Amino acid sequence: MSTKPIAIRPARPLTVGRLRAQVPRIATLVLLGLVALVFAIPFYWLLISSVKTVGELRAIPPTWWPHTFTLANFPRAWSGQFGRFMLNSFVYAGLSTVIITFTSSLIGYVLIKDRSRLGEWFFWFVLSAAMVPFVTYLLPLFLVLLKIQDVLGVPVINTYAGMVLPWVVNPFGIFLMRQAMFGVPDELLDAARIDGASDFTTFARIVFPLVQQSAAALMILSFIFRYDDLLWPLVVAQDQSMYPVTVGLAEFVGDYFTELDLFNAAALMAMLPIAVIYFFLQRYIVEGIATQGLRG
Amino acid sequence: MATAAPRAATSGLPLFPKRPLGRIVLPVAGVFFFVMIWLPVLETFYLSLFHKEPGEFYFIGLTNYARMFGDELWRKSLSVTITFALMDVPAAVASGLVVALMLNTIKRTGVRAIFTASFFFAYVVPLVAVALVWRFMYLPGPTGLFNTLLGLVGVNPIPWLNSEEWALRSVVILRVWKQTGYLALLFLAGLQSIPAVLYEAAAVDGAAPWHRFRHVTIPLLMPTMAFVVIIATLGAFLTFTEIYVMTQAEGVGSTRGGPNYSTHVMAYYIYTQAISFQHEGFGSAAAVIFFLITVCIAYVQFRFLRARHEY
Repeated sequence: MSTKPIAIRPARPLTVGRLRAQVPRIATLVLLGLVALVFAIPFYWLLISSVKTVGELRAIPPTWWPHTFTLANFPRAWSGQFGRFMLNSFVYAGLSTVIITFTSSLIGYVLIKDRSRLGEWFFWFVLSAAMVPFVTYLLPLFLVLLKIQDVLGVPVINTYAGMVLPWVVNPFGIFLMRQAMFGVPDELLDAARIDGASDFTTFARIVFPLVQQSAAALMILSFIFRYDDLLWPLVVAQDQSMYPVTVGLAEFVGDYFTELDLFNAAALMAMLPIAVIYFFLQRYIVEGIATQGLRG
Repeated sequence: MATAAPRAATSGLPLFPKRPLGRIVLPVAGVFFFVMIWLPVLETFYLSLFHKEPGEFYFIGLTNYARMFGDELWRKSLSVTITFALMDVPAAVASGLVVALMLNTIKRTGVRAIFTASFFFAYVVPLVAVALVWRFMYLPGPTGLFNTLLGLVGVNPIPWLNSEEWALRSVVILRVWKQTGYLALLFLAGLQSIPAVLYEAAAVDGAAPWHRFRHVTIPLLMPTMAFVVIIATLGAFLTFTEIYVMTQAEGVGSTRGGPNYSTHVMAYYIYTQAISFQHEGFGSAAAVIFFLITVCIAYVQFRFLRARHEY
């Protein structure tokens, strides 16, 4: 198994006659387009609902194209706690992402470029942990953080630090970056060492730039997954002021439900950062998922 | 470019990393990892043997387990989880496979990438937001989108999340929608790795498209299928967010998973017992059993599907 794609052409189902073959192909394309449209309905619905006025939202039957158009729902949904929720989400997801990328690259580097039996054991220790469902150790994890809080005398529960701590060392990240390290030639490292660079300098200056591609995929994926996280913040973020947007939306679903106009706008705003990231960087996401197929 | 083989023999390796960086990084990471994952896992097993409620803590052996197996709600949540997985996995895998097969017929990589990306988008957007929007679309009254759509084709309104019969199915439909792009992507990677030579050889031998599909695509897709089914099954068993966000509040303390516990899945049961009600020992026992169940599923499926595709 190498990280390079195997030199095999994509499978091309051979067709009998070129002309006759076009018909089913176009039919498939049309069908695929229809399926894609059906899949897009929820997004369309959310989009038009977010710019409708309350009156039109309650209209029976619902309108397929907004007769009224208002952007007033957005600032109204934003006011109150929502801005704070978004900030918390960005800190939680952003901080976790930066840390995961750093630790995973460093560990991947040590595992491959300074191989040892300890490293091999460590790797199996890491991979087997990826099998354990988070919900099964959720409570003891919380208790461990409580303990740390008591012993060190610093607040951990209900802080950003507490939210980020479980993700500092991440099996998926280590797996991904370890794979990437196989592509880094040893000669470069030897050259750097002969020039007197320390091991960390070699890692930061020479190795990291070479695995940027994988690091970018890891960053984007972990940002998306952390931003999406509900279960852990639900337990560790106890004050409203610490809620990320996922917890905020889930806990205030009752309030928002009474005000449909606000709720649509809020849901759309919560999706927006991910939609923007996806639009510009989806190449990395799709590659990262397709090559690893592991959720972290 | 000389690169070390990923599966080099470990026997010739030194016990510790040679350079100081590795000697610092590995132990520190190992300790962190132990404290954040393995220690809590061990503690789950440990706590499951204790009566642990706020202010009370004493050893009770396997009593938690006995109580749990006798708990009607636990048995209900086990059956709900299994029912859920039995609906969710085949539907999502089939949907992903069909979309992947269609995507695979597109020869222009650019067009294929656009379609793949548009299906995959649903998987990427935050689940909480999506589940909320769907909850809104499932509204049983005439303002709900789905019932309006059904009305257009002359189907009677469905009570969706408000009925015991439909609530779980409603969650399944959302999950199929959300996962299709992801599973299709995994299938597509598998389909693309089937050598074109095999199709050509089959065509030369006069195999019809269906036969090529049956005797080339399916057998060679089995390893991918195994992987996808495992991922989908574990995903179904771990379902929590959708239940938390979409389903009706139920009874005292307003736990969700309604109506009448028809969507009270195992992950949610553990959460309510261990976190909401602070039955910490009892909740841990439920977590241990859940952990064992998920490990067994992964193991059995892996063995079964492995055996099937050795041809």
